[in-house]
Amino acid sequence: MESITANNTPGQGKRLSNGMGFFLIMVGLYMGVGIFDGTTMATALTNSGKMLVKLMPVMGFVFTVNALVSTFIHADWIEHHLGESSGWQGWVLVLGVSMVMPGSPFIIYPLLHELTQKGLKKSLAAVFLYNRTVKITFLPAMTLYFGIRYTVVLSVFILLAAVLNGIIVGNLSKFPRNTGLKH
Amino acid sequence: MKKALAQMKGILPIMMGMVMMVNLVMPVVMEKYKSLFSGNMVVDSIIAAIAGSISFGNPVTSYIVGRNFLDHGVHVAAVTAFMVAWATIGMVAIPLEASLFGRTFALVRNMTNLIFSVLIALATALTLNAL
Repeated sequence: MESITANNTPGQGKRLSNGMGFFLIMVGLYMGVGIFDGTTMATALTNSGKMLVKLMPVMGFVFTVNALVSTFIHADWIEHHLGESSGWQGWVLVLGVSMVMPGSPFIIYPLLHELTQKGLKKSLAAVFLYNRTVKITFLPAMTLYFGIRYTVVLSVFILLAAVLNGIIVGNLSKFPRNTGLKH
Repeated sequence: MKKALAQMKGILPIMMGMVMMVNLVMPVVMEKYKSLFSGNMVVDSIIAAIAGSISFGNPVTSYIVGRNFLDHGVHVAAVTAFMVAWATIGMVAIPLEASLFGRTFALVRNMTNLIFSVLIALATALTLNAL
C-alpha cells in the first residue's frame, strides 16, 4: 500500500491511488451482492449512506485539527516532547493524552500521521493507537456492564500492554520508504 | 492547508470503502458469533480475538455484545479477548492505517495486538479468579 503522500507525488496523478482502488473494489462487491440479493445490498447501501452523513462533521473536525496542527505545532516541539529525545516523559504524555483524546480512527489516524511527519516516534504512535481502549469516557459504561473490579483489572493490563506494544512495534517495524515515521 | 486538503483527498475513498465494507459484512458476521465458542478458555479466547478483530464500531457496542455473551455462558476470558480485539485491532481499517503509516507498521501492530488481546484476556480472567 503506497502512502497518500506518494500517491500525490507530481507525475503520478494519472495512476489510480490504492485508496480509490479499494473503494472501487467495494463498489464492485456491492454490485456483485446486488445481483444475488438486492435487499441486502440496498440495506447495506442505505446504512452506509447514513453512516457517511454522520461522519461528515467528523471529517470537518479532522480537517480543522490537521490544518491547526500543521500551522501551529512545529516539528521542534514534537521532536522535543514526543521524538527520540523525549524519554519517559514522552511515554507518559502519550499514555495520558490517548486516554482523554476523543475520536474514532477517522480522527486519530490522520492526526497521528501529521504528528509523525513532524517527529513523533513510531513506538509512541503505536502506544497512542493501543491505549485508546482505556478511554476515560468509556470506563463508566464498562463498569456498568462488567463491574468496577473487572474494569480496574482490565485497564491496568491494557496500560501495560500499550507500553509493551509500543516497544515491540517500535523495534520490529523497520520502515519502508513511504512512511516518514521515525524509529 | 494544502497539505491537510491533500491528506483528506487521500483518506476519503478509503473511508468510504471502509464504511461500505462494515455495513455489508457486519450484519452477517454478528449473527454467527455465538455459535463460534467451544467452552475451552484458551481456544475460545483465540476465536473471540479473531472475531473481535474483524468487527468494527464504537467500543461501547462491544461491551453490549460482550455482556450478552457472558449472560449466555461464554467464558470471561473469551469476552475480554473479544472486546480488547474489537477496540485495538482494525482489520477493516488496515488499508487506511497502511496508507498513512506503512504496510509493515500496520501489519506488525495489528498482529501484535491480536496476540496481546489473548494474553490480556487470560491474565484478566486468572487475576479475577485469584482476587
